Amino acid sequence: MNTARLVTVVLTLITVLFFGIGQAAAPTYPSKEISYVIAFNPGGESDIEFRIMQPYLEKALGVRLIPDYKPAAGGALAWSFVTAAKPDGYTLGGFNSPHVITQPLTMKDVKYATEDFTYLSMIEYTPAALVVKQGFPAKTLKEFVEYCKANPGKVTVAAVGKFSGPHLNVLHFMKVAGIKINYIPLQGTGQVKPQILGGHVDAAFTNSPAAVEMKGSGVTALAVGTETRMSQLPEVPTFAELGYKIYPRIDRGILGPKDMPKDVVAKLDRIFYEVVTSKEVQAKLVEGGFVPNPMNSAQTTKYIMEQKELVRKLLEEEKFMQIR
Amino acid sequence: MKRESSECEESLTRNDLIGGLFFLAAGLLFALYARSLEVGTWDEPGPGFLPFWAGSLLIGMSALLIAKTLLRRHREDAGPFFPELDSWKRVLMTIGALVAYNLLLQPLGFVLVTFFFVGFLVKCIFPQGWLKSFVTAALSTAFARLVFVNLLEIQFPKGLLGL
Amino acid sequence: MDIANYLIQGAQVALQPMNLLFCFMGVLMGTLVGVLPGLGPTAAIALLLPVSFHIPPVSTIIMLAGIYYGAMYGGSTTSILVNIPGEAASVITCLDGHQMAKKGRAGPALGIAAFGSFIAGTFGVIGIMFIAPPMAKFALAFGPPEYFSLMLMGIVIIIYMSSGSILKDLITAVFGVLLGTIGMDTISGTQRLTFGVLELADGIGFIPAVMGLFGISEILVNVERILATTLVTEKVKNLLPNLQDWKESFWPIIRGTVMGFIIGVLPGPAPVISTYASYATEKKLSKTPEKFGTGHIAGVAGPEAANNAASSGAMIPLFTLGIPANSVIAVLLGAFMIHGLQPGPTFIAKYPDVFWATIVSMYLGNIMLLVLNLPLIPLWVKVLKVPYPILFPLILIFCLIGVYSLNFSQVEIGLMIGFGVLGYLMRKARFEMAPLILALVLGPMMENNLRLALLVSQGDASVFVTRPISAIFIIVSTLLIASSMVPGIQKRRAQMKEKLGDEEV
Repeated sequence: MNTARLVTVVLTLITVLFFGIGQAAAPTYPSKEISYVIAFNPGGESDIEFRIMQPYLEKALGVRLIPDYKPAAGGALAWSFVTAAKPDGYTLGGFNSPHVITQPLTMKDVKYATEDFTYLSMIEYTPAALVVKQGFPAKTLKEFVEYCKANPGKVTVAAVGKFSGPHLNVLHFMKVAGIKINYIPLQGTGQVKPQILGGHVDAAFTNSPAAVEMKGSGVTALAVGTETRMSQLPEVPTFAELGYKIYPRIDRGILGPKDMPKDVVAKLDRIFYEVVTSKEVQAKLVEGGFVPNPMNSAQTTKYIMEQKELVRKLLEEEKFMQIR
Repeated sequence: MKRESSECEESLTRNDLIGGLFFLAAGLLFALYARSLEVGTWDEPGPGFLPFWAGSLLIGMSALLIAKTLLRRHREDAGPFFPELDSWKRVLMTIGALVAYNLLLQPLGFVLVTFFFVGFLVKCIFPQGWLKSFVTAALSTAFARLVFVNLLEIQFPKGLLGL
Repeated sequence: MDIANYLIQGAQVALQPMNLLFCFMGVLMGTLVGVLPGLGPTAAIALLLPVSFHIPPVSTIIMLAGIYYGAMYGGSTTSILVNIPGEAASVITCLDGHQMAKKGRAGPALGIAAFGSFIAGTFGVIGIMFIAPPMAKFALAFGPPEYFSLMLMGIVIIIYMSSGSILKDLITAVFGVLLGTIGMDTISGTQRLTFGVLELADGIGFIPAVMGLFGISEILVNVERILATTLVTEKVKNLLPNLQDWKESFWPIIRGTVMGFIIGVLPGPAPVISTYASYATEKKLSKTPEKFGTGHIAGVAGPEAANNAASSGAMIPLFTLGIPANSVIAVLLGAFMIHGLQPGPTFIAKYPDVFWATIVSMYLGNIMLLVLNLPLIPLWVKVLKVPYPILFPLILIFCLIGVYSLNFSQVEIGLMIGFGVLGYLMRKARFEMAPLILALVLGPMMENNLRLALLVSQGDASVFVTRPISAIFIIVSTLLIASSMVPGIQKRRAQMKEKLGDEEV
């Protein structure tokens, strides 16, 4: 009766010994594969951006980057996970701004603060665009603003989420233009397109790739949030050139848990910056619909903190802060 | 495992009473919780709207079920809850094994936990021999590891032995 | 006709050996993925996405599309064999499919599922070819009010599926709706009932719930008795559907295909709704409605055809508007973008070669799937012969790994176990589980659309009946409710009389 159990025990012992002997001394970083946490579903923009950069990063680092998808709660789960991970440089993640700023300020139970990370790099941003449905009485941004002023609270503008990046873009625009609209929170870009194409909402703040895709289907893009006009949308003016100094967009970059060793941070900072500024990578990013925006670790951290102040002011004015 | 035949009238039993009570409690829980959220009006429903009204509806329907069961003239005997004397042991052990798997997955690692889980269940629920248990456990664990970890590259916890 | 030319062009690309290979790999992977619950098409596509970087765009699309509809085929296998649905669309197949398996008729069940899916898939591709643009326009007309009314109708259908006490089914359904409210409410941004657990912020996952309610609970029930033998005690008879089966399945397949395709075009969880709708329709139209739930082949043929037609239908918004109907197609969309293919209304015009090659390869894919799946049927049937004491731990491992591989979340495993216990208790008390699952899926969407509709109309509820499509659904729902109560009352009276009569004697 005991033979089987005996065999198991012996096998176990052998295996333990075998693995135990294999422990070597601590080598230079990186010495094993790095886990890269992606806060959204595969196939989404964060994933696409990662895949574009993956081969270059792996080459420069010399180890594999393993994507770890943790979609949930709009990214909050993934970022909470990263803060709690060991700060040894083997767990990194992609981040979105202003998500990492708004979530700790507006969501309950979020287990991280914006300051709990080491910001390593900024890669690109996806500008937002304001589009109106087919047949809407305003054909330019000026007319849109006038129409909204004449019909306060009646014009429906859809975007993804509540207290999310797109929502903040809408709020910011409303403040700068001095108008009141009826905000319609939706659950994802997949929902925004049918609503605006089908004319169920008057206008929408979408990301620019979606605006490009909808070209020719009757909707009109009134403005984009870039600094200069986009090559894919040459006839669409920027908010800035029309007098509204706002740049609504989603920024994306890379981060790690805070308190990572200084030499690891320095190495990653250097490598990421090299990859993100390379012509090849930038060309691929443009192809994917992104606007390259390379920053190194120090610049990224400064930018995030500046954005945080802006966001805080905006939310306070709208009385949306639920915790702090 | 009896499938109910499609009678339009179903005889009500003691189990329906218990079930009714359970759902009554559930409805109560949701409805009360919903009060702490903004319920809103018919024109402008808030986050608490659906939980509150659906919860109330559940309370109402469960009460109806309980009433029907109590008022029925003859109640069918549901029979004993467990068909055999030691049923509860097996059911509990299976649930326990599942919970243990979940809790021990991180500390012990995928391979070990799977191995012991399968081995335990084969051996202890419907008693099989040691050898059968061991072989089944070993084969299934090896197969699972090969397919999921090596072939499909899904990251499972490495655990104790780094397996 | 132009289309003939396009088809020939497309065939030339699709029939290249490399593309044939990719198509095969896709459907093979898809079938595997469909059979392994929890390992959804999303994961598979994500795995193959890096590979797709090194191959031309057409081949990528062919392969990824293959995975998608391949998974639909595979999902029904586990439903029939072990009563565990591979995904939402396979839940209905469990009802009659597994019963057939228990009676030794797993072969015909699997067979009709394969054939029905093939027929539906083929018609689906034809549909895409010819009526894509008008269908797309139709889909766009669905705004929040229309979705709400559609979902309402979906929930009303539950009453139709009820084979027992309507009251008890409604109770489980409402409970399902309540469970569906757990998570973050997107319209107000507040968390409901999440108790600080971030994993719940997206609501209760469908897979953990379904695997717990169906898979684990079934095992717990079985474990009660000493089952030293196999799951199926009756001798396994023919492996393929016989003539009688075909007779009973013919019209269900046709109806299921049409229904599935139309519903599939609507962005959203169309395959699920189409399977429930098909099942309810078949039950209503059947001359032997009481057989449903005990292993009636029409209950497998119709829904299986529906869900395959729905997955073809779901491709339409992708190609004509660039709108992904669900998260799987969203990955496909991502693949388009990586390769620089701009999805949107101009897609077909700009890349006819890609589009038509994909169409042709979908035909091929359907054929491959049939050829692949049929010989596997005897193999699958053998699985049922494994002695239960050995089989059930394997099924459990299957479930555990499946759930864990989704999000690597122990919370979800815990949820699955919880649902398993709940399902076990529910079975003992004879409460049905299918209404709960449907309500869990439809409830949140129904609520979301209700509130969105009211938000846009600024509190004006007439919107639901003044818009034509929405009004139609509301009217149908009302009629359904009314007509189900009337015969109910009469039948009840008759049965009461019978019972009383018996008692007195």
